[in-house]
Amino acid sequence: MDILSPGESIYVRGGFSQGVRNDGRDFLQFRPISIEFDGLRQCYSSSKVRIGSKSQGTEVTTGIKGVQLDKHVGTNDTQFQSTCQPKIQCTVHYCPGVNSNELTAATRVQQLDQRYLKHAEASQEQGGQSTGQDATIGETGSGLDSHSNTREMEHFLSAFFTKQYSANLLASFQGSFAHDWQLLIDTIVTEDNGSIIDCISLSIICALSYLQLPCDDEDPDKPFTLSQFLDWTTLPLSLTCYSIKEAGESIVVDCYPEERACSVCSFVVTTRQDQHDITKNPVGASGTSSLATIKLAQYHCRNIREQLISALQQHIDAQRALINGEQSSIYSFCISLK
Amino acid sequence: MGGTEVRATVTGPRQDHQKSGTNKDRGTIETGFFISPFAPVDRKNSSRFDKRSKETQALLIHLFESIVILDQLPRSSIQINITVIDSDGSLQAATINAAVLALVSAGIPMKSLVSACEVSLIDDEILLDPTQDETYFASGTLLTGHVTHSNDIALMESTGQIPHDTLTSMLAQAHQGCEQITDFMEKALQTYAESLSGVR
Repeated sequence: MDILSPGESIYVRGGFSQGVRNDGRDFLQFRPISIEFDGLRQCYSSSKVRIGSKSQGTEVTTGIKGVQLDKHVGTNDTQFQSTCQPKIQCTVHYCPGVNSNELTAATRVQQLDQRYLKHAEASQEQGGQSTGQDATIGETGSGLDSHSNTREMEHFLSAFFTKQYSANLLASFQGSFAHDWQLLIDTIVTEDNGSIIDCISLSIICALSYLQLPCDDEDPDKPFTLSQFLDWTTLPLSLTCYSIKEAGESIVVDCYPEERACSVCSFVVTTRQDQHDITKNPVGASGTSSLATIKLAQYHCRNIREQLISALQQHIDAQRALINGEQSSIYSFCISLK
Repeated sequence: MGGTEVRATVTGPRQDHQKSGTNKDRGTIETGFFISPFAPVDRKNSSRFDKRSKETQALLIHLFESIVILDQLPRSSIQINITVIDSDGSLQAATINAAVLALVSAGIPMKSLVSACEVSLIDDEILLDPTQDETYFASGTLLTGHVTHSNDIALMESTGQIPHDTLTSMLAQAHQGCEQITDFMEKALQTYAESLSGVR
């Protein structure tokens, strides 16, 4: 997206100062979320998540495949009873023609340098008088971007989610396993209009919620059996929170690129069942926020997570019932969080 | 098409940044082709620059340079990007059909529509629109792109071994398949046009 014009900036900031966003949402309200299960035949499980409307939203598709690594053979020809903690590898790819709206650190510095040099040259031509143009850079804050590095963003997102879903963090598959598994979680981004980390995180959770891995069965007549489902409520959920000066101490979630351009700071809050991880968002903002804001973000993200779990529970149960009934059909639904 | 899901986007016409020496009286077509890692049966990271992607990109450029009226778009470039989300046979045919519909949706001037389909030969049996498993066992596969409402062939590519006397039958079968695809595409475009005009 292009850098915000002063008029757009005033319009967006004015709305925040009055407690209103462009589309009438609250600060802590997400755009409508539509989710589709089991759309990919070749994968063990898959999900497609869209945050926002068709014309201006963020959409990602996640597919999970597995690779068997080692086979453990117990003594006395018995199956090795164990729990399986699969190794995880996450990759994120942007579809061709889709560019990331985020500005990575390297390109952001480059953009700031170029803008500063242009302003410096312009002010020198005007007789060396400061016209106050430099303040514009500060006002646009974290979101100034017009040449985001999509490949760098892919690398960052892949590393971020691989680290998050490493074997230490992922709940174990219970059951008799004779193999170790490596799970390959691949995500493709088909549209990016803000909240990309939130969207990918939700998509991975939805895909993992009904994943079953095949394992050897003790019955020689059966080639394999399917493992039990994961306890998906323990999976980590990442939400990006923004701090906007005009919004006061409150944090804002699910920002459009225009709203993000007006933010002072952003950070990613990853909540698990009883834990929080705060990551300074390496893409976008370079500002600072107070400890009170961070604690407030933790509180709100925990609430959003609880709302999400309760909204998804019945749908995931329905999808699991379909799987157990060996019916294959695409299950889609919409949820809205307030 | 069945289990194959392809997403096509068209950007342009926009200013062409080609270096001097290229033909400035005609527009150019650029393509991008990406297969999602989870699309094939064996999951693998496909690069945008691997052999299969390059072949498909060349195929699309060759086809659309003869279909799109580039003389009306001087010094412009049209970018056609294809993403394969799920692959279960007839991938190139689905790619061509998706790209044609995307070009129509973008309002790019074309001489005519093109519909594509694949036919395979397995044990002297001709199969229309084969799945991935059927393609593995086929002795030969034929990809054809037919100009709608005419007998002209815009594209023909075969792989494997096809006996000479069977080729005519396969072409006839492919022509029938393309006519079915054409009906479907026209209905879809009509629905799309009505939604734009607010009729529905």
